[in-house]
Amino acid sequence: MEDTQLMKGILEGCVLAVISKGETYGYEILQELSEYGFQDLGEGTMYPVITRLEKKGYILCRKEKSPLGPIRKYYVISENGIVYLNAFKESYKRIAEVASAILDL
Amino acid sequence: MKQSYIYLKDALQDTYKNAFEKVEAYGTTHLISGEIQEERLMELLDNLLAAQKEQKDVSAIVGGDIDTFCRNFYGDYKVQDRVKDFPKYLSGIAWAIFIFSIIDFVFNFSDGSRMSDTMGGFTVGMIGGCGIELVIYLVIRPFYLKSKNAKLVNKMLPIFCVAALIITILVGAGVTKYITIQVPILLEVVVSGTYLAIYYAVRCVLNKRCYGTLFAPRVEEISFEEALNTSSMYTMPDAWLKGFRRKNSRLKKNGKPGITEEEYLNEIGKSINYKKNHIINLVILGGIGLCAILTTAISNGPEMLVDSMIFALILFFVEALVCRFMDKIIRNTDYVFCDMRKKMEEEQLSLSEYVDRIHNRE
Repeated sequence: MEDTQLMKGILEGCVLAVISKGETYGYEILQELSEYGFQDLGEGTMYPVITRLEKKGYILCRKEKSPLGPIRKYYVISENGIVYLNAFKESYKRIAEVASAILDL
Repeated sequence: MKQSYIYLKDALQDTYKNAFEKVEAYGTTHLISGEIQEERLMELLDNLLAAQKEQKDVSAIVGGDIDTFCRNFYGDYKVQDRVKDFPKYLSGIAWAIFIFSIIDFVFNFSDGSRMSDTMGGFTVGMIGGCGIELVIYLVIRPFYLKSKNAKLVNKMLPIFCVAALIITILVGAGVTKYITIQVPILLEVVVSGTYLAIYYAVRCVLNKRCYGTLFAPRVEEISFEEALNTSSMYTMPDAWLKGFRRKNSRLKKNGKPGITEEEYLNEIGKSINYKKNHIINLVILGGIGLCAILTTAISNGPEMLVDSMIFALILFFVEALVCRFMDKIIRNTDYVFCDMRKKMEEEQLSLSEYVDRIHNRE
């Protein structure tokens, strides 16, 4: 079982990384993260992460009617989001190196 | 119209629909604002429909525990967000006061005194409105938590709100006899107008910061009509199938021979004929309207001709809206029925096979 606190820390960066690959929407993001190996994303943690990213201006959103009927929100990464993502990747790399050394991985 | 997801959710199959309704009930009983509900639930609906199309399990979207999902789903919505919605609610009340005050001021309905009793009713309305929300939270929420019957909670809520509104109006009407705060109508116009001017000015500033323009960009919305049409494609064939089975069950109980599907559908076709119902609709509403206008004109007499004419105009406007709405429903029912019959003929399906097909239950 993945640690919830650990997940919360990295999910923002991972969701942003998925969005940075191209315009996408909620279900696609869920699918891609699931394919990478994230379990338990169906617990609703993704939605507040996307809301937070939008509020901070890291992602832009446009709405369009989906082929299935409802209005769908399509997300793209913003300029600020790219800067944040690069900084996140650097921080993660540094922390992962240190943690790996401490945990003897 | 907002909350069109209420009708679009009919496209969901059983387990997906159950999960959706539970999330909806959670939001309602935790007083999540209508706007947030609409946005979040629309996104959830899209995800559930996508998962349903790919025949994924519902847990791929909502996980194994719906309560955990709901807590996370609405986790970032705090009390201060609820407070932020308050100016928007106030603007609706301000518009009502502004418009009625202007009409009152122009037509001088207050017998020349230019004073209004509005503030008493307004105050009771405000307190009543806050009371409705508190009672919803105190009464509905424990019931939901105990029964977990999301469908019942979602159905109870509109009934409860209407009942609470009626009680508020009755209490308000009674209380304003004793608590009447008279203010000059011009003051009502100025205060409500000033509030609206400030409210929209602040909104323009926030929009400029957020979108770079004074007005928020227009978003493609699903109209109430469209949502109702989508829902009808699923709910009406369901209702007709249930009707067919119920009718045959009743005939069998009474020792009479049952009817075939073709006979039943022909009966339905005759009863929902658009032209016939459209004419009946016009005759009934027109007749009621004419009687009301004549009665008012006769009882008012020639000296109050202007009042009678204003009443007739308002009644005509309201009836035109009702007629238009009824017409849309009749037209939609006719369309759904004809479309269903056409597809049943083309694909040689019985009514129950058609219903299974539209719910992907094959």
